[in-house]
Amino acid sequence: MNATRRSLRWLAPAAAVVVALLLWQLATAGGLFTRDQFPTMTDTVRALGDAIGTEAYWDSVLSTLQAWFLGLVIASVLAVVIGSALAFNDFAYRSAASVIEIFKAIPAIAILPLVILVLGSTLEMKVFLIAFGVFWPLVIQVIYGVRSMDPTVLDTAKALGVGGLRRFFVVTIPSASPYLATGMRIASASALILAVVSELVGGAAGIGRNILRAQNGGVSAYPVMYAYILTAGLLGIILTGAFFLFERKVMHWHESQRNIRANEQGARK
Amino acid sequence: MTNATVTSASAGPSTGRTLPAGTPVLDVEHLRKIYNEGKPHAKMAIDDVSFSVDKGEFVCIVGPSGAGKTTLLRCISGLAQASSGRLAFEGTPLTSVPDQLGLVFQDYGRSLYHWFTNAKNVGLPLAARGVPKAERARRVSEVLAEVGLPHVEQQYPWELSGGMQQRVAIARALSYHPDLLLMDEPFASVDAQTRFDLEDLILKVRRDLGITVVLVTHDIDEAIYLSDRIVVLSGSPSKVREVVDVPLGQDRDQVATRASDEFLELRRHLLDLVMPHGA
Repeated sequence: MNATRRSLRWLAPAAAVVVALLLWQLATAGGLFTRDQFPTMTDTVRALGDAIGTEAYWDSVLSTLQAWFLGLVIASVLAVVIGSALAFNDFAYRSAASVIEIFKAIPAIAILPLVILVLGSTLEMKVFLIAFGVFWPLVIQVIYGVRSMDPTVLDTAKALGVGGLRRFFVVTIPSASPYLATGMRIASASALILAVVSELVGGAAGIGRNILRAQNGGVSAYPVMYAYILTAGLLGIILTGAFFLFERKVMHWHESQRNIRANEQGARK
Repeated sequence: MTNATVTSASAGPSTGRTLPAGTPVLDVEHLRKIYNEGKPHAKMAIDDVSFSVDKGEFVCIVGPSGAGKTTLLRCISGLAQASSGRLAFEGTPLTSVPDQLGLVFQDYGRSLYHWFTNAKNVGLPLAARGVPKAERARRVSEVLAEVGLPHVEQQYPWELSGGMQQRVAIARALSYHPDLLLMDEPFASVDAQTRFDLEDLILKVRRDLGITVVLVTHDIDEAIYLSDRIVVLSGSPSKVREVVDVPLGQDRDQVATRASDEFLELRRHLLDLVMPHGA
């Protein structure tokens, strides 16, 4: 009884994926699309299978991941440091708020031509673009998180004689962490998009450049192009899942996670 | 460094803090607190409050609701600045929260850190004072046992009942052996039975550790049951209406003490002071 229900929870989404793949195959092999418009599912999966065996495939995945990781880390560290400094000082916060809003409104893609001119088709270019793109929304999350700290939490820290850097790491950051976690989750997704775009448009090594190459390779390479597009999607799913697990582990004490656990237990009964 | 061992052995942690005999632990003279001072919407919360607390005393501060009790507590703990008047903790003028002061808030749900286990919560002020890890662990178990909560170290505060959470908060305030324990309506958010238990717990702690306690409450019965002296505040902006001695002795009992004639007589007198007159 319990076991069947648990297997059903995994079976249903898996079945949905299978159905989607079958529909794809039906639409392409059935003649709705021609080969030069949209490759069949089987061709694409075969191309993906072939690509997985090559070193170039894994190099491109690693290049994309590397830029994603570096950009995200740099942006997060800067956002936490600068955001906290601004949040603690009302005057600085008021002064900087409008500038941050303006920069946040600039789509990172818009500065891509400039970044390519200055840095070329390099890893640095990708990392800069990603860090620039995710820094602004992240820094706003940090500011909100720190400013919304419960006054009792701060009073308690003062009363216990917890000050300076210890207070920052042990009280301020955990108390702002729900905001940070949301910011990071969104930043992770945008960072991957920016990485692929910078490769696709900027020509730096990675999944994006391989999509472009396959596109230039003509109709016969279309399945390869879609194989890389699928790869980008799978990478997105994996990163989102990793973030989900990370959040569940690190934020297990937070009320939202406690409620999720309680609801899951309730649903199982 | 050596603070840890010194504290448990002798009176104070830092050197040269042997106070002259008769120096009150807390001395409040003509305290006044005005919010938004100098602005059109300035509001006087405390007009003129003076009292002092001697070593080993248990003093309650009572007053009608809105009398600025919490403001007063924030001022005498060093969390808020007084607008005028003189505040001294163990003879030293008060500028921030003193190291040797323990504070317990009414809202344990927000004052305990959810991201830490109970042990880490209780050990936090010790860590901030540089107590080494092993010594910290020993003292955390010791103080949790003192408040009647062995075996909760690895649990999180939110896994405990309200009364138990407030015990953890009390343990945290006691972990560094403060000279003065300051409590802001500590038992206002728990049920009646738990409240009696916690009142007796704090009396026991005080007996065991010989600690000085100042407790703010709106509950007159609680104030009489716990204290040696009661500072009665008037309504806002607060002044001291009267300081009432409570000669009920050291040993108190929830049933017998509360039914005694002295208790009832004090209760009548205090109610008379706190209840609005005229009207």
